[in-house]
Amino acid sequence: MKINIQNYETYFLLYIDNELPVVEKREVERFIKEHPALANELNTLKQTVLAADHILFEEKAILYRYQEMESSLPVGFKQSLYREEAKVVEGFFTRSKIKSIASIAAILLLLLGYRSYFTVPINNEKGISKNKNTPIQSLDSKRVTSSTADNIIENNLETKYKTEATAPSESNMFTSNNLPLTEETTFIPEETKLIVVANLEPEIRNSKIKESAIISISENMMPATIKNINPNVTIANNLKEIQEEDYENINTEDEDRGVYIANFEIDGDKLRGVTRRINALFRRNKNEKQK
Amino acid sequence: MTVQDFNNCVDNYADGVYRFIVKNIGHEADAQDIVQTSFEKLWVNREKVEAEKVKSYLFTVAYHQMIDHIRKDKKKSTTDNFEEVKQHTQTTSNAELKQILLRAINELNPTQKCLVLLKDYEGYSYQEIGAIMNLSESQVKVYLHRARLILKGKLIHLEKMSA
Repeated sequence: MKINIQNYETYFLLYIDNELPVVEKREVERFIKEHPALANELNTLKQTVLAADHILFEEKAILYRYQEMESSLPVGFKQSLYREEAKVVEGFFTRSKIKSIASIAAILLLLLGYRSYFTVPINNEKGISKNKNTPIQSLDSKRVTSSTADNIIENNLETKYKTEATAPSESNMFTSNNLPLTEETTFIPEETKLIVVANLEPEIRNSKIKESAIISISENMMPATIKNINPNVTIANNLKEIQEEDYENINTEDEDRGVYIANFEIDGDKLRGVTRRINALFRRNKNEKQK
Repeated sequence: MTVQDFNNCVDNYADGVYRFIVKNIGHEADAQDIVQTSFEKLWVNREKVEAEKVKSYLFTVAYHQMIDHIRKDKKKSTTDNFEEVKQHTQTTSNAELKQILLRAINELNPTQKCLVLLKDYEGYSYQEIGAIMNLSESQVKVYLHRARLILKGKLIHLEKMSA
């Protein structure tokens, strides 16, 4: 279809919208030349076309992307980087209070260390408890089974009458090893006497054990207090050993000496060095205060 | 699409998208928000958008954002739009004629306005405009021609009034 007087307006609109092919554009231009009265109408339509406007988007920087943003962090990594606001504890643990607490702790440690140094037997392992053949065990040792209880009682009775030379006459008749021991036996006292040595304080051991070496304990404690007692060894022998065994003086020349605090062994030399430093520190602080 | 490609798109198309939006809604800050949202969407879908369709994609997104914005902000009057638009108008020798034309464009309905802006500012074909505005090519042609005739009539009327 060609441009004519009936459809020229559509061609004009397509012309100003630049939607016509080159050939049809030339036809429109030729039509205008042929109909100059319509040129004004084409010009008016051309005026409806907006001219280029130099409006710029000034904030391009917020649109740009950067290379490092392309590589996304693994999930959870950011969370590992997060920090929580630290809780500030104010008031109690000031610097001066921490110093005071540290000083008190050091003094307590010193006292405990010296006490252990002078009160613990010279060789805790070489002492009574170390002797594995010792028939007497500590009170807190493993409990014996009921099956061995009778044997223990029998041995105790046997040893008792062996050691007590001045026992009453009626008890002498039971010194025989063949004496049957039953629950009905009248010779078993109500409170079976056992010898408890290991866990006693040294003073008690030195005094009471040397005198009688017998401590009465209640009957219901009996099975729990004794275990693995060698029946061939008498308590009398044990008493003798205990009496013979005394505390040794601390050998300061011994390289292996140490201080025991609870279950911890502290080298005596190191402890002494620490105490010297602490003393020097206190002395220095005192001198500074005096100045 | 690489980061460099994306940044090139910013350089090439951000001005056009912004101009198209700001001429339509007449509000700079809102237009900037729409442009930013459009490029955000392009970034999110950068792997899906073909390189040769990036521009039309940006205008499409911006156009729909603008429609949503107009729906939400119906309080804005065309007079306000004109005042805003006037700030961006470049001073030329035909300044008066241009002001008349801009006023006439602002009186068009939003679809016609978009059609004119996309055609005149961006030079899109009817087909491309139809793709952006979700219209057929013939619809674009009819609506745009109708808008041109309206503008023509207004220009003639205003010229007569001013004369």
